[in-house]
Amino acid sequence: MDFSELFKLSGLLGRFSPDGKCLASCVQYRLIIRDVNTLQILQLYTCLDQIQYIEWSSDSLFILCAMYKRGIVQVWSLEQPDWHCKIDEGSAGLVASCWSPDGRHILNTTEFHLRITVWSLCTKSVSYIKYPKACQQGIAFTKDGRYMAVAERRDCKDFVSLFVCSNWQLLRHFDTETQDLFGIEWAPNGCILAVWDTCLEYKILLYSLDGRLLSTYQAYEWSLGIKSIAWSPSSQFLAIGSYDEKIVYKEVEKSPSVETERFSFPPTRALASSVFSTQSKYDISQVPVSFQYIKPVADRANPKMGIGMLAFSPDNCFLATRNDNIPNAVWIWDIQKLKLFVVLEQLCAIQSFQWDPRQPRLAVCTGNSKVYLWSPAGCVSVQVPTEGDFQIVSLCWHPSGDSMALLSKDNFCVCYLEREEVK
Amino acid sequence: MGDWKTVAVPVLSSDSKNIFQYTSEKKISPPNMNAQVLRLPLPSSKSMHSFFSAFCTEENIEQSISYLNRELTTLGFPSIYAESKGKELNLISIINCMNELLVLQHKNLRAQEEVEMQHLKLGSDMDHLQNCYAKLKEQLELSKREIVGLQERDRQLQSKNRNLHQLLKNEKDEVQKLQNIISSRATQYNHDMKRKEREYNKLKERLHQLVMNKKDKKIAMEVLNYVGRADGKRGAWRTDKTEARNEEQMYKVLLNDYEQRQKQLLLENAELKKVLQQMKKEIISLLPPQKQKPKERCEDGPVLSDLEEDIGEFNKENMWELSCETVREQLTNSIRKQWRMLKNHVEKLDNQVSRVHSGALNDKDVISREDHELETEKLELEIQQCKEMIKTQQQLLQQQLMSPCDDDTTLLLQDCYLLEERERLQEEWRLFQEQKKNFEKERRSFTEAAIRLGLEVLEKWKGIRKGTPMEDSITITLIQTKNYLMRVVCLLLSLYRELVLLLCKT
Repeated sequence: MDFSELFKLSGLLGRFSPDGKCLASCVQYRLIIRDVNTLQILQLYTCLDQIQYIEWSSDSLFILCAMYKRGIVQVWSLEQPDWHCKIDEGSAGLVASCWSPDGRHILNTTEFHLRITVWSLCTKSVSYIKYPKACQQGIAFTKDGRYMAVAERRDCKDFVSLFVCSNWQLLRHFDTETQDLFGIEWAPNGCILAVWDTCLEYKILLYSLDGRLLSTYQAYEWSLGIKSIAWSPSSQFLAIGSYDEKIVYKEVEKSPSVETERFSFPPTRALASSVFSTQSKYDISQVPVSFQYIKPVADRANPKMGIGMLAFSPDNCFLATRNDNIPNAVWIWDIQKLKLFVVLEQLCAIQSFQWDPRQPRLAVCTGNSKVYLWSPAGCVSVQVPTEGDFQIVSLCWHPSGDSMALLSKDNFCVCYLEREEVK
Repeated sequence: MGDWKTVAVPVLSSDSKNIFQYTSEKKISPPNMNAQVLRLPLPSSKSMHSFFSAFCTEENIEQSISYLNRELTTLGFPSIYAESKGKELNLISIINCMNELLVLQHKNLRAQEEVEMQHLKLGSDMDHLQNCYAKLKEQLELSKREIVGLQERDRQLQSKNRNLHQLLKNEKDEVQKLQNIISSRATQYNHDMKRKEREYNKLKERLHQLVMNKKDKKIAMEVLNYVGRADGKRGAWRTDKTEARNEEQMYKVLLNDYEQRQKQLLLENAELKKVLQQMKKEIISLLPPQKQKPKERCEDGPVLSDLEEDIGEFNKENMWELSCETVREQLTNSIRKQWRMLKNHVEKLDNQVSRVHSGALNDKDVISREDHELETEKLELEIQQCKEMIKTQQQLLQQQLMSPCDDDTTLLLQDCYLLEERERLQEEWRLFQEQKKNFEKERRSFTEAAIRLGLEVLEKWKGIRKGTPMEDSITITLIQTKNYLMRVVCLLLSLYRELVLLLCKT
């Protein structure tokens, strides 16, 4: 494993380009494009204000920088460094900005979620989507980029609109049976849309592409409900993590009363656990193991309990989860056998973990200067060789899985992994 | 008949026992005598005689006798007078009466004893019963007290139970109440939320209007030059056609997805069917041949034949025809049946094995494991022993053959053997010599005997040359001696032969 030197970073904005050739990073109002292998600066752009969000277009030709305070989005081209584009929302304000899948349209969400403006880079046309829902995941694109789902709310009722991305025509518009829609997410196959309700109500609905309700699932009433969901790469299963520290692993085709597997997090039982020690290695401890269990404050909203993070491995073999009550541990479940596979217990609370896009390899960071890698063959913890403080809070993989960027509040570094020989 | 008056005679003040005597008072009898009789004290042991003498004195003999006679006759005894009227006493009847009275007296005494005994018995029984009664009364008291105690406890427990039930009910009610409160609050909050949301929407609308109306110059996009579309085509107008095409596209996507899934399922099905078929074949091969015993397994027979038919059918049909419903069902049903048969078979085998283990099986063909093991152990031991023997023999042989070839030792050894042989030979020679001597002696004796016999024969021959009857006897004797000599010679020869053999051996 090789580590690059530290580079300056602000706002945890470090992104690999989709084609894997470049790495974009922001320092205050400057956007720096580097080559992935050499980390040499290819381009340097200066924006008008502190950049709050960057996103590559899907063809890696453009990159947008959003400045919410000023309400400006600036788009830069990699092919033509002279090319510039600035979208000013003015008094409408800007809350969120993202690319369309074709890489030629930018969707800006104005302040107070008044509307979503679709700016086109190809034509002069502008489209508006009214009444977008003010929720965490209000816009979702299918994997193939054909359709877009937008959550809307009119007259105190939730709706979902499906648009065709190629010409922005409304395909379907249907209401959902939710009290207060919290998020929408497409299945990887692009035919099923998962819609789930606010945490006050445990309800998840599955809609087909043509707007039909396929199924609903409600585990219980009155207690806090869904915290996070994840689609399996095969689109056959849905993992639902809830506030009661349980994961419901549901087969999409079947009706909810049948064939749901609930994984619970027993606080004192684990198949095998690796404990991080100060000498920076993993120990395997014997069952039963007890974990540090945090009971959240009862009178606060959004308590730190339940399953906060869920991620499937790309080969559909493992599911990595984090129980916010036990923030030091990553639970990795074997999906094929529907059993707990391994628990990684760290000394500090886990900040984030991400699967390698190509193979079942999990990278974990806990806010110190070490990066932890787990694969079914074993796990390793690596100290990043830096001078000074480097507290890794986020990481992101290169699309090929050969390297990853480790991001801290002020710096980032790139870690190059040895490519395993594939026979 | 006179009037009877029973009078209790007053008690004597002496130290004797009191005897109450009832005497009858007769009015007819002279009063002074009766009075005398009455006033007389009770008879004691001392004064018994005096009492007796007091009754009858010399003056009133006749009166006493008549009185006695009257008494006796009334009691049923015969009169003591000799005749109906007269002064002569019938001594015999008197004695009889006396005897009868004595017997009566004895009887009465015995009866009295019995009665007293019974009285005592009853008294003790009574005591015993009273004791029992007292004890039972105590026990009853105790049990009553216990019952009271238990009842009290039962009451307490029941009241506790009721309390707990009540508590439980209260808790349940509270829970229900809380749930109701929660739901009511939830609806209230929803309502409030909706109200606030409507207000918020109104504000948003207002804001939106303001923003749009302002025609803010700022809301614009500055672009150096427009970029071509990603797919390189030109933008298209939005028309109904495009809408229709969108719909079509969407349905195509959905259909694609379904088709893919169906393909996967078909593949899976085909795989599973193949596996099922294989399983069926294998199960059939595993099952024991059942055609030999049609009676016992009559229920399996037709099934087998069915199965064979099925196999034949399946082999003929194509794979995609197997998706037909009935055929599918047949396949699964037949596999189920076969699996059950196989299971039964395996269970039977298990039972057999367990029976053999317990030793209950009395079959000659089947040897119990323990016997088998013993036999094998024995055989192994034998083999071991034989091997050892062979080894030792080999060793000895080798020793002999490959004994250290030291000349002196060999010579010594040879000498040893020779010495042994020589000694043996000497021994035999001695024997032979002895026997020879014996034979010499015998030969001499035989020859002397033969000579003497010859001389006698000669003399007799000279003496009886004149007479012939002697010839026969002589010839006979001659023949006899000849035989005798022959025999001797044979004996000698055999002895000689033996000697020679002996010598040869050595």
